[in-house]
This record gives sequence, C-alpha cells and structure tokens, in this order.
Amino acid sequence: MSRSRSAAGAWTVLRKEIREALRDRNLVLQLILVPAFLYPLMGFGAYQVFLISQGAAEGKVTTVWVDTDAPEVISAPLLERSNVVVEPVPDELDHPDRAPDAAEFRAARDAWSESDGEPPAVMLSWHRDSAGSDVATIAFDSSRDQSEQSREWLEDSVVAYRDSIVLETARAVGLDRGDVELYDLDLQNTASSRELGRYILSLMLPFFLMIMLAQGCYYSSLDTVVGERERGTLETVLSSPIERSRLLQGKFLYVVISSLVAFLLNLISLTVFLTFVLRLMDVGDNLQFTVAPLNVALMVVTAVLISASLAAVMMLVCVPARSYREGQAALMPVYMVASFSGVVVLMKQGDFTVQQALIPIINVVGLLKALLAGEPPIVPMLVTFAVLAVLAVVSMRYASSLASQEGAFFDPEISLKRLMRMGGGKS
Amino acid sequence: MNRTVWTLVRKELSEALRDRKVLLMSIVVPVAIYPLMMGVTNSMEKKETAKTQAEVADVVLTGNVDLLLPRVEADSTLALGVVTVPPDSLRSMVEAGELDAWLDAPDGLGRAADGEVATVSLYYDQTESVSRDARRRLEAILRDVRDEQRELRYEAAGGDGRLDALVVSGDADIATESEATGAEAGRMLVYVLLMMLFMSGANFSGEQVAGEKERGTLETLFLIPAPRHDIARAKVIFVSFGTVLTALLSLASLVFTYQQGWASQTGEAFSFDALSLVFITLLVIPLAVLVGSILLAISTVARTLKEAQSYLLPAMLVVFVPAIMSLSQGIELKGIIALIPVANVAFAMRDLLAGRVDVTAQITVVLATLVWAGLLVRYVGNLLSREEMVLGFDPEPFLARTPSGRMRALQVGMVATTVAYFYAGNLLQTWDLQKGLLLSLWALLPVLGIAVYRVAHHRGAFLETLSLRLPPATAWLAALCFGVGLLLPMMNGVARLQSRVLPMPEDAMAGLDVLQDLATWKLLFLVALSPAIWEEFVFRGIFLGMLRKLVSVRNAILISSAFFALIHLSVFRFVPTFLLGVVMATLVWRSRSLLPAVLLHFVYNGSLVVGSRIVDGLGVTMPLDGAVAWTVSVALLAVGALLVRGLNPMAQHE
Amino acid sequence: MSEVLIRTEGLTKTYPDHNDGGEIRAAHDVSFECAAGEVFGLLGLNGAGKTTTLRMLSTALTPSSGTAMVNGHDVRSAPRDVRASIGFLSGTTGLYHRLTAREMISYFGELHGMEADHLKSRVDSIIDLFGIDKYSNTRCEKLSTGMKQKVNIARTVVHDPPVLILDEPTSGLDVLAATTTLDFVKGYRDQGKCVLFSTHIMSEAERLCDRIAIIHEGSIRATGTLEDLRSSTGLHYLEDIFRQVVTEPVA
Repeated sequence: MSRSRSAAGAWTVLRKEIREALRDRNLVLQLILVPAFLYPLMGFGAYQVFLISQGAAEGKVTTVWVDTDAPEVISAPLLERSNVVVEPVPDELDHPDRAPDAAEFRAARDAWSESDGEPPAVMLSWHRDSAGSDVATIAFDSSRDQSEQSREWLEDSVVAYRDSIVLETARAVGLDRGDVELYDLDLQNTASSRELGRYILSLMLPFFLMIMLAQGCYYSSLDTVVGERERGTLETVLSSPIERSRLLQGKFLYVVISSLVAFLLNLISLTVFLTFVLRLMDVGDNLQFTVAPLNVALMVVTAVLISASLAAVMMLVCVPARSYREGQAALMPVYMVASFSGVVVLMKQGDFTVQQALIPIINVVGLLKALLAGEPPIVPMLVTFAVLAVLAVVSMRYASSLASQEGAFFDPEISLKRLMRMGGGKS
Repeated sequence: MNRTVWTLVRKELSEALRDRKVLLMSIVVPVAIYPLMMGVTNSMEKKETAKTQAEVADVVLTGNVDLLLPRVEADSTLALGVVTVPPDSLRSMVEAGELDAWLDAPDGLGRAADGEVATVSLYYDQTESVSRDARRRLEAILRDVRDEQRELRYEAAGGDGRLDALVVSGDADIATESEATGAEAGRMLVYVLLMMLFMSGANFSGEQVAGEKERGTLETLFLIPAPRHDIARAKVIFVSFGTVLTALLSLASLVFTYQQGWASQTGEAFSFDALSLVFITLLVIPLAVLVGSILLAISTVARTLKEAQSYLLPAMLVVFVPAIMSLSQGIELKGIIALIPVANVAFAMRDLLAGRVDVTAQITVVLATLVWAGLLVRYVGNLLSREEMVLGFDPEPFLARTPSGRMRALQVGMVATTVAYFYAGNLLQTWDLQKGLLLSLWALLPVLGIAVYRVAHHRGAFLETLSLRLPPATAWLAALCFGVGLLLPMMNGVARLQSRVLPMPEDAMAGLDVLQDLATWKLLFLVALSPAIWEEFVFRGIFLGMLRKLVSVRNAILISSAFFALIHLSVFRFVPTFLLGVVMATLVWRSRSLLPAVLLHFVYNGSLVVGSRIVDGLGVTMPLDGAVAWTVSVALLAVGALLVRGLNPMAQHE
Repeated sequence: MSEVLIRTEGLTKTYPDHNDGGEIRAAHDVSFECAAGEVFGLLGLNGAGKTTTLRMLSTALTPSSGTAMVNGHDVRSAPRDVRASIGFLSGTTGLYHRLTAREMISYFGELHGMEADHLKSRVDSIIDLFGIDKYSNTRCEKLSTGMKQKVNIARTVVHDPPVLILDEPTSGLDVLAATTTLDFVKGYRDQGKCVLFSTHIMSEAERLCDRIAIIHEGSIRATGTLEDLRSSTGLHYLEDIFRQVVTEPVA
C-alpha cells in the first residue's frame, strides 16, 4: 500500500469521527453548549447572588459603642450612615485610666447577644494615660464580617480626627500643612489597564482552560476507542484494509481536534464573559482584556502540543478497556492529574521558570499564565514546547505500538499492565 | 421501611461494595484527601515564605531623598540602585520589570516651591508581587519619616509635649486565633464538601438509573409487584447513604486534620466543642441527601451512563452558584440567607467553625436544607414514575417526538434566548442606552422569538395566541382596569413585601435614571409602547402559544410568565414581573387576542413613567397609599377580574 | 378450552404527533385471548407494535384505551397484582454485573415477596433445573451469553408465575442459547402455564406457537392456529402467509 493511500485512510477515519461527534448530543453538550451557555448563566446567577448579598449587607444594622469621653466629631461620620447605630459604652466598661481589655468587651458583647437587640460590633474606648495623652482603643472581632467592616469605618473616623487635631496644634506654633504632612503621595501604577486586565485574566483562565483541554480529550478518546468497541464497530474497522497505526492516527487527530475546539471555545467564551461581568459590576471600566495576537497564537501552539500528549496518553489508557465503565475508571486518574495539578502554578507567585517548564501540565498552566499576563518568556517557553513535543511523539508512538499488538483489542483478559509487557518486549 | 425497599437497598449496597471504584472514591479519597492537601499547602507555604523573604526588590530614589535614604538602606528587602540613566527612562524600566519601584521626590519632603505640600511620586507595577511589596515598604518608610520629622519640627517651633498626642491602638481583637481561622476555613469547607459529594455520589447514582437503563435491568425491576415509589425510595435511600457516608468520612478526616494542623502550627491543642460538631453533622447529612437527589435526577433524565456523566460538571457548577455568596463579606446568617440552599450551609459552617452557635439559626438552616432535599427527593420520585423516563432508552421511532422531547427543545430555546438577550442586549445598551433599548426591543427580541419558534416548533403550525382580532369591548375595559389597578398593589404591596425578605442594594435601584432627561413622549415610546408591543408579541404571542401545545393552559401561563420574568434579568424584578405576566397571559388567553394585553402593558408602564414625571415635576407626593387609593385599586382589579371571567377562552386545544 | 389467563379488548396506545397535531398509534384496537397451557405468538416486523402491546400487558405502559386482564387482574386498576403474576423477559433485559448468578435469582425472588425458606429451596431447585450450579457463584459479568440467558430465564420464573411474557427473547443470542430459551418455553407451557411470545422470526413461531396473531402497523391483522391461517390464506409457509396478510389492504 502506498504511503499516500494509507494517509488517506487516516483522513477517512478522522472525517467519520468528526461527523459522528457532531451528531452526538453528549459531545456537543460538553464541548459547545457548556462553554456557550453555562458561563453566561453562571455569571448571571453569580451577579444576582452578589446583588442579593449586597442588599442583605446594606440592610443590616450595626451597633457601634463609642465612649462618651471621645470627641463628638468622631461619631459624626458614623451617624451619617443609615445602617449604623451609635451607643455609649456601658459604665462598667468605662474606666477612667485604662481601656477595657478584650475579655471585658467580649463578655459584655456575649451577655448582650442573649437579650434582644443587636450586639455591638465594635467598641471605641477613650481614656487619658499617665503621660497625659489621649488613648483611643478600638476593640473588634476579626471572625465577624460586620465587626471588621465597622472597625474600618471607626478607624477612618479616628484617623481623620487625629489629623485635624495634629494640624491645629501645629498651626498654633506657626507650622503649616507642609510641616505636618510632609508629602502628598502620588501612586503611579505603571501596569496599564490592559496589563491589569490580563493579570486578572491570567489568574483564573489557565486553570479552567487546562480542565477544558483535559475534558475535551477525555470524552472524545473514551468515545472513539471504548465507545466504538462497545458498539461493536471497532472490529469491522479493524477488518478493513486500513493499517492499525493509521486508524489510530485518524482517531488521534480527532481527539486532538475536539480538545482544541473545547479549548478555543472556552477561551473565547470565558474572555467575553469575564469582560462582561466585570463591566457589569463596574469594575471593568479601567480594565481591558486583550491579549496580543502573537500570545494567542503561542497559546494555541501550547494547546496543540499538550492536547496531542494528552490524547495519546488517554487513548493508550483506553485501549485495554472492555467497557465504557472500565474506560472511565482507567481514564479518571489521568484526567484528574491533568486537570488539577496546574493549581500548584497558580498558587505560586513569581515568574515562569525553566524548572517548571520541565514538568508537563505544570508547564502548560505556567506558560498560559505567562502568556496571558505579558510578554512570552522565551527560554522557558521553548523548553515547554520541546518537552511537550517529545512527550506527544513518544506517547503517540508507544500507543500506536501497543495498539498494534494482536491482543490489544481482542484478548478478553487484557490489561494495561499486560499490554505494556507485551509491547515492551517488541518495541 | 418496608421489605421491598430493604431488599432493594441491600442489593445495591452489596453490589456497590464489590466495586473498587466506588470504594476508592467514597472511602479512600474522602479520608485521604485532607491530610494530603494539608501537607501540600504547608510545604508550599513554607517554601513560598522562604522565597519571598529572600526576594529583594530593586528600587531607585531620585530627587531630594536624604531623609529617606538611611531607612531604605537599612531595609534588607530593598536594594537601592544607582541612577545611571536619564530619569525619564526610569518609568519605562519599572514598566518593563527591570526595576521594581521608583520613588521620585523632586521637592524633597515638606513644602514645595509653590507653598503647597510637596508631591512624592511612587512608580510600581501592580501585577508584580515584588513590586507590590516594594511599594508597601516604601510607603511605610515614608510614614515613619513623616511621623519622626513632624515631631522634630514641632519641637523646633517651640511646641510642648508631642505634636501627635493621640495614641490609637487598633489591635484589640477579641476573636481568638481559632475563631478567626475558623471563620475563614468554614467559608471554604462547603466547597470542599460539595466537591467530594459530587465526585463520590456520582459513582453511586450513575449505576442506579442510567446504568440500569443501559444494561436493560431497569425494565425488569419495574415489573416487580411493588409500587414504583418504593423503588424510587430505595434508590434515593441508597444514593443518600453513599453521599452521607462520604460526607461523614470527609468530615471526620477534616476535623482530625484540622486539629493536627492546628496543633503543629500553633503548638496548642484545639478541639471543636460538641455542640458545633453535632450541628456540622446535622448540616452535612441533609446536604448529602440534597446532592444525592440531584445526582439521581441527572441519572434518571439521562438515557445512558455516558449522558449522565456529561451532565455532571454543569450540574456541579450550577450548585456552586449560590455557594458563591459565602465569599461576600458582611452577611449574617439571618432572614432569607438562612433559606437559600447551599449558601445557608456555607454561612452556618462559617459560624460554627468560628465558634458561634446561634441555635435558632442553625436549626433553621438544617430544616431549610431538609426541605430542599425533600422537595428534590419528591421530584426524583415523580421523574421515576414517568413512562418515558423508564422506557426512554427504547428506540421506538416515535418516542423522539414525545411531548417531553418538544418541551426540551422549547426549554433550550428559552435559555438560549435569555443568554443571547443578556449578552447582546447589554452590549447594545452599553454602547448607547437609547438606541440599544430600541434595537433590543424592535430587533433583537422579535428575532430571537421567531428563531425559537422556527427551530423548536414545526414549520407553519398555527399559534392561536398570535391573533390580532378585535376583542369585545369588555376585554379592552378589563385591560384598562388592570393596567391602572395593578399599579398600587405592585409598587406599595408586592415590592414592599419583597424588600422585607430580599432587600435591594442601592446600586440596583439606580436603574434608568439616565433616561430621565428625555422628553415625555420619547420616554413613553421607549419604555412603554415598545415593550408593550414586542414583549407581548414574543412572550404571549409566541411562547404562550407554543407552550400551550405541550402543557395545560395553567402551566403554559405560569411557565411563559416565569420566562418573561427571567428575561428581565434581575432577581428583584422577578416576582412583580411574573405576576404581571400571569395577568397578561390570562387576558390573552381569554380574550383570544394580543391587543388587550398590549394595552394593559402600555397603560401600566406608561402610568409609571407619567406618574414619576408628575412627582418630579410638581414636587408633590402623590396620595398613592391611602385607604381611598387602595379601595379604588382593589375595586378596579375586581372589575377587571369579573370582566375577564365573562370572556370566552380560546378553544381547548387537542 | 382451559382457563383464559390473558384477555385484551381494544387495547390502544397513542402518542401525540406534534408534526401535524394528530396522533401516532403505536398499538390500535388489539384484542386477543391466551389460555393456560398455550403458547400465543405475536408475529410482526420491528416497530409493528409488539413491544408496546407487551409493555401494556406488563404494566410498564398505561393503555390509552381498551382493557386488558392478566390472570384475572386489570392492568389499569390492579397493576401490582398483574406484575405479581407475570414473568417478563426480553432480548435486551440484562443482569447485574457484580451480583453472582445465585444472588441475581434470589434477589428477584425476594422482590416478588417470596418468603426466605421457600425462596432458598426454590432457588436451589431452579439452579438445578437450568444446570447453573457450576457457575452459580460466579459474578454475572463473567458469564458467557448462553449462561447469561439461562440465569435470565431463571430470574424470570423464580416466582413461578402463571403467565410468561417474552418479548423477542432470542434476539441477539447464539443458536444454543436460543434453543435453550425455546426448549424452556415448551416445557413451561407443558406445565400448564400461559406463554405470550413475540417474535419476528417465522421459524420460531412455526415451531413453537399454538396460536399466532399477526400484528402490523399497530393492529392485529389475523389470528388463529397455524392450520387456521393456512386454510384461510391457502398458503403453506408462514412466511408467505405473513407477507400476504400484511400487504392486504385493511378492510
């Protein structure tokens, strides 16, 4: 058989696989409908949930205890808030020479919560120390959201009061604002809104994309190897004059393509959706999610390489499975590792390094992150490409040599271990 | 539990115990994952801290910075660079990441040449962690120098005592360390648990219905002489058993890991108090049943194991949506929050781990979760007693056109419309509010409606609701009565009641304020006439008509109104819009024409516009809440209802 | 004639057709009787309505109209009694993979409410009867097709039902497994039970059925013994008779 003719065989297999896939409602659901519908729906749901919680938080009344010794200007901004109630600190906690300690406040608060009414969230106590300085103490409970929130309000208030007093005292001896404040800080974030957007994007996207890539490979390789076998069509195909390696190549290409489709659709859908939600939440105005065409191209290259490796590994694992269930059981670990090991990279700060580039999956997530965040890191990127390419070629060849074993599809007692022993002897 | 149920459950259990995968996913993984996760995070954290400490930021200071230099030099995390390039290029160096931060103080500290306070510029890159740290350090140094310098200047100017005499101590945190970390960990606990439940539960449920369909054992099972709900009950019990087992195991492992981790990090013993543990267990069980019934529902709807598998991820993501709420700050476990499924468990667990046990709230959450789980169990029971669910795998040729098949197509169409409207409509309106609104109503909505009709319905089918025949005068009158009569009950009744349980945030109330500058007639056209025409056309004309061919009149009205409410894309507008939809759909159905509903819609929206104009323009408050107004409204509604009753409804289809 | 155990009158199942607002008739006005000690065959092409009819009799589907009595119980008003008196087997019914053959059989016995002691001896004797004893403790997933079929039959009759409903029980089986099934049917009839049997294989019907109903496009076109059919059509082979009956215009 001539080489071109057998390559055409692989092409025929690929065409059939794609046609069949488009008619399979599970695959369409997984690869197309989920990215197209689910993200927007989830985003919409999350936005509503956000609004509900905002409403709930706004409507919540917070009680703040403020010492009667404290200057009145401090409570003024608090009183302006419609959902804050300012109450005086109870007498038993109001010591002239020291602040009540945390335990006292805690006991008072806990006693309070048993009776009706809102227990105090924070307390500002005020006394004069032996040196004659006023001491303001804010007691709060960091395990309660409300307390954290009102502590900030109180702190702002106290600081504003303190600044005004400092300025007043300074003016009395002839100093002015320059002497007191010394500087106005002008913070310049050199990352443009575009970079900031990409940064936020790079924190979330790579992980999702890796999951989607793995999922694309998972469903299609399961379907095209185990599903075909279960339906009983594999044998017919094997009895046609096409070489096994060509058959495998065709199927392999199909798996790669479907995983890439999943990847691209998710990339587009997630990007559009994130931009959208952030704009809706009024965060998006100064953020832009655009990635340079070169980076997108490099991301696609990365995706091609990793899906080729994943496709080969997953098909290899599938070959000995006799039923869909067995196939799933065999694939699950691969799928899990592929989807979730990338978390490691996202939790790490800092640049994408050559060491990271040596480990498959980790390097993919790392590289996607780097590409989304900014300039392509040349050396680690090339290392990643090389590692992935080698992995893809080796695993494909290995899969193909194993699948060519006679027992691969027909031995009822076959297992991956056994197949590898047989294949290991010959290849 | 009767004997059949027990036999069924026992068989499922013994089968599950022989499945290695089930054992692995529901026993080994839940037990092992937490110690493992703990180990990984701990070691990573250590490495990370070591790395950050070792990381030194390159910074450059220009201008008059003599006061700052000693402190910067003393800081081991900052490496002071020497400027060899023109200052203009320093910014681009920060941008390029060659430099981590640049502080520029051309006027030094104190007064600038123009008498104002001197400006200090600090350049950094928000996207780089080293740069962010450098910025934090430099800011702290600036503050320290300021505090020191101003006291010196005050003293030099002859002030006595300290300039800054107020001592602020802001660190009186009354939460113990375990409470503070508990609050954080509790928030996340529900996510981990949900993941576990889904992963392990899927193994129990997949086999149950979808797997049995595939193997052909389901039909034989349904031929045993026992009521079907016994079988459904047994399946629910079994799947819940699996998820509860997983949940309890993971919980035990989690508690153990947490205590160990706590002891190893802080050196002190830590233990949950008994009451918290009881409540956590009580929370986890209904949650497990909830997840179990979701999984069983999926397995019932799917025709094959493979299909069931493919619904799993979407279902999981959807369940996570309400849980997102637990990430927002400032929410207490009270009121409606205690009733929202999954979210309430998240908050309850946060409170418990933070060491606060509000018994009433906890019991409410447990009960609410039980009710949700119960509803789902009932739903699954109903699903399992439907012929097409049990026999749906059978390739009888006509089953593809069952009502449920059509219904599914329509549902997908509705979801697609909502999503498209969400994206496209919002994009159009951000581009230009007025034109966007016009385009959405005059082009987008009808196009989507017609598209769904074309795809989900067979061509040329007649929709009786799309009629523009002239209705009797009573129908017009009824429309007017409702259009006016509904205003007060909606504004001051429904909306007010709703805000008690579902308070609206200020942001969401702002709404269409931008449109207030428009001329009244333009506004009327935009928000009253256009929606009246096109929303009636799509929701009452197309969707009500299509639904009517599949379900009863009552359900068609309810579903189309729910969809009408949903597409308004706001949880706060759902109830009022839904009620309005029900009234209009009933009117269309009974008057056998779209026209009265268009009038009703126009009058209702129009009155709101004109009403708000009058209030704004005259500055008077309308006497809209008095006993008279209510009496008039109720009377109008009663008259409208009587008139509608008198109309002949459309012929009962099929 | 001995006692009639299955009687259907005007049994009809329709589904709405949403293409033209009409309905699709899966089974229409199906009426026949089947007595104890008789094998009654429903002969028809795929999609003729055999499965729908049998499913209405087994109470898996509810008839749109018409009545059916099985062992004296109405399928609508007493579906549980109907189910208690039938054994149902089709070519697609499967086994639980991780249960052993013995467990599989006694599981269904239990589900049919058999008492523990009685069940034990019944399962033993049935295992003996079908010659399953050698692999009665093997998990079902490991069995060959023939063995699986035997277990499946044993499962069907474990509660000794007076009525047996078989929906193309031999489809997908090899010759030996198919023969096992057919032999069993004969033996079961000889015990005086009522067997309702659907098939599209003419030779099976010829060999096995005491009476045959030819069903086409949802309704019964002819009923009778093989001899009756031969004399009414003047043809000898069932295949020819079948072809003639289904191509005849409906009166």
